Amino acid sequence: MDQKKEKKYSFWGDTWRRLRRNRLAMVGLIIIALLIFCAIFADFIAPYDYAQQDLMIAYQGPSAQHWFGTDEFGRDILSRIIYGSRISLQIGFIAVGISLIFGGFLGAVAGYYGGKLDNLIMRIMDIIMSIPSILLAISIVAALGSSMTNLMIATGVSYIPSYARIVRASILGIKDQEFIEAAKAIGTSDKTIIIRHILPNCLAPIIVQATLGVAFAILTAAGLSFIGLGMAQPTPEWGSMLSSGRTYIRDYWHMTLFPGLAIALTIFALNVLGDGLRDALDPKLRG
Amino acid sequence: MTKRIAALLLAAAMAVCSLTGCGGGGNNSETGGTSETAAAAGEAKDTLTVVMASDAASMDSADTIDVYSQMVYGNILETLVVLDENGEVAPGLAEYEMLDDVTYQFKLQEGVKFHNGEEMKASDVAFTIRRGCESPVLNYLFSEVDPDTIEVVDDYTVKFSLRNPSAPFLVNLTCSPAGIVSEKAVTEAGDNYGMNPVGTGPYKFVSWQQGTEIRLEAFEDYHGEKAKIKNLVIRLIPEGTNRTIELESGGADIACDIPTTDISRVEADENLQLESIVSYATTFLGFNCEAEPFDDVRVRQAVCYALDYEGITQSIMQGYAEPATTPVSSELLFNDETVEHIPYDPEKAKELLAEAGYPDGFDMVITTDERKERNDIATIAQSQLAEVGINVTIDSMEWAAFLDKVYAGEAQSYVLGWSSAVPDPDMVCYSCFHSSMIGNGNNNVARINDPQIDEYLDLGRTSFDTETRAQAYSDLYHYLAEAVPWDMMWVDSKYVGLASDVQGFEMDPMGAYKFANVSFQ
Amino acid sequence: MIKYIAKRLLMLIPILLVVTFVIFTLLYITPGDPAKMILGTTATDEAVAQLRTELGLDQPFLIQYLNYMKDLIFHFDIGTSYSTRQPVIQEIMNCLPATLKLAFSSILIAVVVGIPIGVISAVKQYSIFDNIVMVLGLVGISMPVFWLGLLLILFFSVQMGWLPASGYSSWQQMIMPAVTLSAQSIAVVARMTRSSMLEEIRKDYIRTVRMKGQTEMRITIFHGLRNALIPIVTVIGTQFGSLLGGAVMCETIFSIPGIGRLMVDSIKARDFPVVQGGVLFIAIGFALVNLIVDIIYAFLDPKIKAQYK
Repeated sequence: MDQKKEKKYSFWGDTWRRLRRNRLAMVGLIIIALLIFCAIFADFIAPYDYAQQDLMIAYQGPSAQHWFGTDEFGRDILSRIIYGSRISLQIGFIAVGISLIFGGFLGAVAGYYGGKLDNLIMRIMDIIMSIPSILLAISIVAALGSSMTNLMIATGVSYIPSYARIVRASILGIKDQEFIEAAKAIGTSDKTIIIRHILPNCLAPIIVQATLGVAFAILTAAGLSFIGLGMAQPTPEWGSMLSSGRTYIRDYWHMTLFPGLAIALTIFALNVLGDGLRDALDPKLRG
Repeated sequence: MTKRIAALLLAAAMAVCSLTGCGGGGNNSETGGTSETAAAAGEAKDTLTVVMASDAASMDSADTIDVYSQMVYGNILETLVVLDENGEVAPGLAEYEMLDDVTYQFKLQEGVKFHNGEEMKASDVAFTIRRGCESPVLNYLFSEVDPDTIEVVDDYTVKFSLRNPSAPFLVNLTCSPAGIVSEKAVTEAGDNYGMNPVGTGPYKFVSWQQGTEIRLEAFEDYHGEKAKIKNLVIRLIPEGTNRTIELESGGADIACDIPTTDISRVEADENLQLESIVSYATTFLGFNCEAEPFDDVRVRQAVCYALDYEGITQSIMQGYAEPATTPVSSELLFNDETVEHIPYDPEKAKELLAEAGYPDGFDMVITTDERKERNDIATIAQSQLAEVGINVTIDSMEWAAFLDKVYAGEAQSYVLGWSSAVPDPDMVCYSCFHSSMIGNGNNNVARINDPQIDEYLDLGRTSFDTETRAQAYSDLYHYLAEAVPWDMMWVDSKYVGLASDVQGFEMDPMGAYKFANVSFQ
Repeated sequence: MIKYIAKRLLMLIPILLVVTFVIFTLLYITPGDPAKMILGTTATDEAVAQLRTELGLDQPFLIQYLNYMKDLIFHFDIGTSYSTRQPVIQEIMNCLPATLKLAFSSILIAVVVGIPIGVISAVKQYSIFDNIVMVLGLVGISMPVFWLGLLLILFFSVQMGWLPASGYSSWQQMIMPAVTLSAQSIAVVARMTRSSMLEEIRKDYIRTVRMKGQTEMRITIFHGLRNALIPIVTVIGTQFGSLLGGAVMCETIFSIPGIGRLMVDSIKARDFPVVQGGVLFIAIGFALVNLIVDIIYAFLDPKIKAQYK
């Protein structure tokens, strides 16, 4: 038992050390940490209420009182972006959570039990993958309405196959190894085997995929909002801010600049972090 | 191996080139604007390029009356009667006579040709009218006509009767959807008629690339003064800013529906002209007067007091639309300028709410479609209503779902607009406020059921005396300003941008512009 | 080889069956009455009800689905658009050229720009060029398509007045949409080229070739690239997938009447037949593109080709 614990510690510690050396990935990590901080402490950081209108000061560019300027209703854009981080991160994480849980479960079952069940599940995954994710997302939102929950579902569903594949591949990789046979021989339940032994193995690719998945979810949600299937006012979702700002792009481009920048920066940070994690966790590059 | 790579790349390159070639097969004429305005010097331009916001739904007048389709088929068809400069009914394709207060007789012009070469006869008119009676879409124009009375008296004379007297009926006939179609063309084309319209108008239909553009050509055998510009290309560009950019870059000669943000820019541009007209449309926040809490007029009034309609109009429309006091556009007949809109008074709003039993406010849902302006009204309203304790949730939906919800009476309140197709207020007022028009797909979506309102409306419709009608509508507007089934916001205006060499363009309060008189300087 | 292709094509059938069923179900539960949409707000309830019966909208779900499948399989008829009353096939065909143009132009740009950048990056690993390219690549992947498009319009159309902001006929009109759409693909292709080239360069056979005395240039391009092409081709294939999402945005921003926009507009308009037909079409398109990619894959890699013999 002690030996196992030590191995685990050095695995993650090792990963962390390698990640730290990747400067770009660290930049990404810091940005994400900053965003999470904004999301949690938005109430304290944001200078104004995100829904507070003041028609008199609408359309103003960046100034001392409003660092990012005001939108068409006189609302402070900086505050809206800060609160928006809460929404984007929520959507991102929960969407990935949904994909992970359902996909992981299906992949685990498919990989572990194999045979016809495996075939069936993988065919279904193929089918989900053959429906272009954007169309699926649009259809789901059009059918169920554009609330935050539905956005999460819409973006989460398309990624289910990816996680299913990852988990299944990991399971297939070690299913036949000796220690699994040993565990079975002792009488450990299937469930325990999957959770205790197999899942930790897939953790690495899952983490990488999840990081990129959050990016994808945020981007898709913003995209949906952009084409008009987003959340209702006064919710400060970055994509809808971009969409509203589009009308004024010629005269008040600050309204499109900052939300777009926020989205791009977040995606960028998640991507470099994901890349960095992939490199750090990659066994081939170790030592 | 290199050869294979090279082959792949070459193939790809060829694919793109061929596609560029294919799609631009008619390239020279398609981008008529760009290449031709560039080569403008000396040569007479023979193509007018117009950009509009939405594609036509159909060329068949009996299929759709949306303003974009009307703009196109309005140039292809002509009506029996037209409105002259004074807004009075005047002969169009025919002269009219009223044999009694429900019977109309039309004597057609002779020698009028359809685009398919046939002469227009009374049979075509009878066919058109019968078609209008049968089409659910044209119900609002032809509902009073009794189809059994349609009679072809001779080759150039048609007669028919209405079920009830209707003062506005002749004005209705001046609308493009009432345009005369060729019986032969319609029956031969069958379901395809919507793609191949035939009329007597100055422009004839050439082609329609859906989602992209529509092409019309001047009709050589037109019975009146021929269209001045030979080719008419109507291109579709949904994004407002893109339309303006197209106009500025010379890709279009006329740009319809200039967005609010671009109006001052077009005005200031020396190379462009800005035309505007107050339209027949209004925008408002409507209530469902059948259900709580808006079945209580005090609650409706409270909302009106709580909303600063002038401030909202100014903020969203930036001075390019006038705040509205009457439910229909101020441009319609019988407008009354003495009507007053409930003023902005949040304290009074709170008082009324308390009186009606809502001292702490209540939860309210505002349903709107996707248009930015409509959503903006809801957003500002949300903020202003919060001041008097009303907690608003905004439900923004796609147009189809939105219509569904509103017409089914499921929307507590909604942001909507109504346009009249004619200068007579009867069309909008009757269908929107008469108690017989509640439910069943009819247009009284405010579901207001008030005998006094019905009385004013019936009087306005059946009386042929102008003064009586004027009084009836005046009384109606004053009454509605208190009963507020709709909290009026503004009267829409239409803004069109023209290139500097375009002349002869006339604005139309409905937005269904006609291009026969347009020419280049 | 033929057997493999045939098997793949057969696989299409169950996939498409389920795709149609899923979309059909989604549309069925979507609120909004198409009959009402078509007739407009002035139509009476009876008229709407009549149209519903005509269109078969009042039938139970399964009957509607079976009717649809029957038409599809036996007559290749995927219905008529509710809005325009034209055959869905025609609607799709009208929009196809625009999207194909956009897609091919973007992929072409991605390949023509991405591969050379990736190669140079790999050869000059860790140089400034490499680092800049890597960061730009990341930026490219992170940039939301819709934002990039807006920024390009802002600069090139509004500020500079150099390029038109809409349409798809002339090449000037196509530059911005194609570049916008290709941004992400360039980044992905460049990165993929770089990493596969790096792997290849390190391999032993390269050392052998180098010893044989070939010039550095020949080595990289002819030998390294050839084998690196495989993952690159795969990536290009998969890019077609994400292209659709980007195409929807591009078509919206640049007023291009392509399939992406057709889909979004039809979903919003509750024009069910067009949505169903469109998704079916796109799914088939995807599957075919994947198949073609796999075939090219097989040609490029003799090992895989051997598998199929």
